[in-house]
Amino acid sequence: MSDRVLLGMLTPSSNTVLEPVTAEMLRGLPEVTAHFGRFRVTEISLGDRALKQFNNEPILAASSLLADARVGVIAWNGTSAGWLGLDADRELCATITKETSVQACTSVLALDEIFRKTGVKRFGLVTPYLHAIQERVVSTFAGIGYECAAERHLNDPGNFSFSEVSEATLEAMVREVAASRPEAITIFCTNLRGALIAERMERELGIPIYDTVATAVWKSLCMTGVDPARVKGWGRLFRDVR
Amino acid sequence: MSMATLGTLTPSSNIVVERVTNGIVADLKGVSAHFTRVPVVGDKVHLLDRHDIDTMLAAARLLADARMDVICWNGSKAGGIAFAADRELCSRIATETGAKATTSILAIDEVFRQSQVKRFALVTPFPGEYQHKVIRVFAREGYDCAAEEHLDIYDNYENSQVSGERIAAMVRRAATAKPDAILILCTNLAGAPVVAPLEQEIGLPVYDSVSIGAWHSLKLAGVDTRPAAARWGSLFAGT
Repeated sequence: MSDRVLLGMLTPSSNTVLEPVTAEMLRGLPEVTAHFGRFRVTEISLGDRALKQFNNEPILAASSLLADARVGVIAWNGTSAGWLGLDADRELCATITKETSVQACTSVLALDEIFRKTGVKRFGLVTPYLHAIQERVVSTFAGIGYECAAERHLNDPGNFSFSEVSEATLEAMVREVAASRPEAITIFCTNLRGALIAERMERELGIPIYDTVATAVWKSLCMTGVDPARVKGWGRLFRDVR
Repeated sequence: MSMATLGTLTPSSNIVVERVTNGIVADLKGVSAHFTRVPVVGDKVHLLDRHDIDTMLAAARLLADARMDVICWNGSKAGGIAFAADRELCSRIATETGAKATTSILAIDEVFRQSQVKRFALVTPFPGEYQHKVIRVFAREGYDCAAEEHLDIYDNYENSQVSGERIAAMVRRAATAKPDAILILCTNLAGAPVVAPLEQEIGLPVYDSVSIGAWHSLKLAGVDTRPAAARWGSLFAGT
């Protein structure tokens, strides 16, 4: 029992995708389990109320409950740094670790690391977000050296509705951005079912596809000393990126 | 999408509920499991004599944001208070969120009544004085404890470290009293994986407080649980 690896996942309250996807990814790893703690997220916009959802306090409260389970890592399995800037996630991770003594990571910091490690400069961006959020995400990534070669978004304030976007819709969006031949495509939103299409779309298009639930799980495994290659069928990220 | 969605209120120091619930769900089609935590940590948890309703409702509302069909408190605390504490909790959760609500303890009550269990054996990791409190609570509900086994563990996290072999040994000893059923109680105890083999071995129904909570959630959501019976025990075989 003491050889178990416990991954803590900070979960947006209205998200219905990341828990089943994470559990499924870990199914072939008997010693690894995921544990979840929610904080309130119901809308994604640049409005005051929507932005305040990502203040540190509720996230830290959820982190502290995950720390009660003595998890080996706490991951913010969400993409708010896309519009708040990556420093928001860096500061969050530092605060989580300071308050809980547990190492921390996030979907977006992991994506940045994956882009750097694989030399991605031009990427494709697929999200469900509003125009204004999408613009902020594009400029956040431009600010750290990644050019958005093509993007598709659904102009939806979410957050629950994001989980209802069909795999067929996501596939169509991915194909459209693939036409610009980016070096990688990210499906950016942890309440989208993007992880479920990554493997087959990579095969179809020959372009790596990085879903943000997958990036959080990948980084959590790396940080807890588990070989990500043991996660099979969920795309090149787990197979190839170290 | 016609997914049945199960929301589980998980004790914060618990590392068993999510693993078992996801294991059960993996055997079924069209079900997705969701979780959030409520504070339960340390060696004083046995001393609490009521639910912190406000905290639990706040957690239930976070699950309701994800539009759960059922919300289950997968903790056994009411077993040391009174079943009424969980009935009150469920009625508040249902009123506030519109989801159906249940708990591990109310699931046990449901199964015991349905299968006419009157004499049960109680297997837990609890300290002795708390064990006897639980036995009195069950007696008030009409269930006589025919045999009991406990481990005198105080810290909730430590409960998760008890091996399946050790739990199985307690169940075997409890079975010698020939109870109507054996109950493994404590949702941070990894009893669920040993239920099916033990039922085969001893020929008595064995219920685990984690898997019974998940089972009742599935029933309330209208899910056919039979595909889970091979791995999780006879409870799941019923229609």
